[in-house]
Amino acid sequence: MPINKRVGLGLRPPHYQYIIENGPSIGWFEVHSENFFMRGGPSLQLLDRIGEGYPLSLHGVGLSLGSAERIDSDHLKQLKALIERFSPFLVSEHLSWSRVGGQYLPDLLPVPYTDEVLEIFSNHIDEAQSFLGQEILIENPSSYLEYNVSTMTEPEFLNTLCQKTGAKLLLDINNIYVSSVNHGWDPSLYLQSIPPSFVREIHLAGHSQKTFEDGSSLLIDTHSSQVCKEVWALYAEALQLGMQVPTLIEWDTDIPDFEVLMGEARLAESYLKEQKVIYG
Amino acid sequence: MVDLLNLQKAFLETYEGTRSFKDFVKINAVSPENRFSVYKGNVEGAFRNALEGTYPLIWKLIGQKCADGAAYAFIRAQKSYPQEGTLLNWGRDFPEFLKTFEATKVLSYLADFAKLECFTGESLCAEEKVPLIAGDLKNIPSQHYERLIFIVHPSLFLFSSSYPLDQILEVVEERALSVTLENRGAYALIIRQEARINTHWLSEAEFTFFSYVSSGLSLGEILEKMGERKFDFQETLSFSLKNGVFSDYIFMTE
Repeated sequence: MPINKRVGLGLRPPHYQYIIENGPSIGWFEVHSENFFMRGGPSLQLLDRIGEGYPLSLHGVGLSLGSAERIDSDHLKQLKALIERFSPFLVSEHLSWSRVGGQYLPDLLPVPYTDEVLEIFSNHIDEAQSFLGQEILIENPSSYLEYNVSTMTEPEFLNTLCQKTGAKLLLDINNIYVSSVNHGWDPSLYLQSIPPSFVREIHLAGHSQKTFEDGSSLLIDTHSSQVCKEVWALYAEALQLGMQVPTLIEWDTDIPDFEVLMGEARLAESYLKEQKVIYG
Repeated sequence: MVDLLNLQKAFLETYEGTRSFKDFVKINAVSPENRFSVYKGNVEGAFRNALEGTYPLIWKLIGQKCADGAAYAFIRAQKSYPQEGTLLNWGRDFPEFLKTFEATKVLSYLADFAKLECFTGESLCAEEKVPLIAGDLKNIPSQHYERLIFIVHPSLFLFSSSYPLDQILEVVEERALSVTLENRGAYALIIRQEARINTHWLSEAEFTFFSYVSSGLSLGEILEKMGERKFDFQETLSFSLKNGVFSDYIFMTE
């Protein structure tokens, strides 16, 4: 079966041994690149073993393409070494920043959608793609605030970025939903604004809700639960729009047994194979 | 128009509590302060998780509530941000912080126990090298033994403490229900073999020997320095080769 009809899982330490011992029927695995930035040891060796049986995707969380300052050349070198070792079929990063003044804040922080940031982000993607010799996918973030200086919508920014750099998109459907609820966007309109030819990968995950003392609330991208029905419905819309691409189930907090993840993966695969339509 | 660098500096200053970010945020149903607090919580949570990942036995030893309290106090007090886009090497100052944190400073051995745990993590991630085995040494002519310099394996770490860390480790790893702490120190050699980290407890003389080896002295120089110490060289060499302590050797130039 072609990889674009296969669902993958985020590979997390509690499941390493199970996967090696049982060889579950799953299309591919994705790992966070920075978790393998060590010089040696069992984590790298385990990934070697898993990579012998499954296609791998490298998903970065720390390159900070959206920083005003230059991207970290050591980080790029370490990423390139991983690419050379594991030959991933996809390499991705985020539409975010995490470094200022050489100091790293470990989160995917939002950038304003302005011409200045578009220029900086494009230059950083060009630099990264040239150095890595590899196309990189950019993932739309879950966001909890919007900047009052933004002059573009998020889809406009992403589309222009793809046009300028040749980069492609990792469309996180849960992030679209979370950000849409948090900012009052229309998630279907967001999806329809993205040309399907730009999309190379889809992420699906669960989220949670945080209610503040004043009664207001935000959705938080916690990757701590099953995919909700609204996100499945958006996924079906994405498929109908022609975004039949490798799809990943992510689960990072309160990680359940592997079989629970497999259940989510089977469900996603049924959508992907049948382009399942949700009515009502 | 605000430039990106100033906006990102403002974000960091707001995270540190020295300014407000609300002038940058579009105002609607949820206040800018609440919106920003999600990012602050995410950043602090990631730092906390990284500390627990490096020091899981500290969490087990003092309990989650106390360890979380120490972690968040460390995160807020130190402002020692990583200089790289990964947390794999961050948090090396946490053991020293435990000496000053109100709830843990009474546990005088805790900082050393945390350092031991930190070295265990570093050993786990060290560079891969094939260790020397006995057969690798068999063709060395005996007249060259004195000039032999062993290169220690990259995953080897030596650590000495004035507390009996071996006893504490036994309790934390539930190999003993409780112990009466002896009034003595401990000498550890930490090394990775295959996928496993082994912590070997040494005598003071053995520890001194391995410290000399690590510092790059030749075998002749080491044995001279060891002098009259109670120490069995053949046994220590055999232990070293069995446990993958050396990754190479060279000869001291004459």
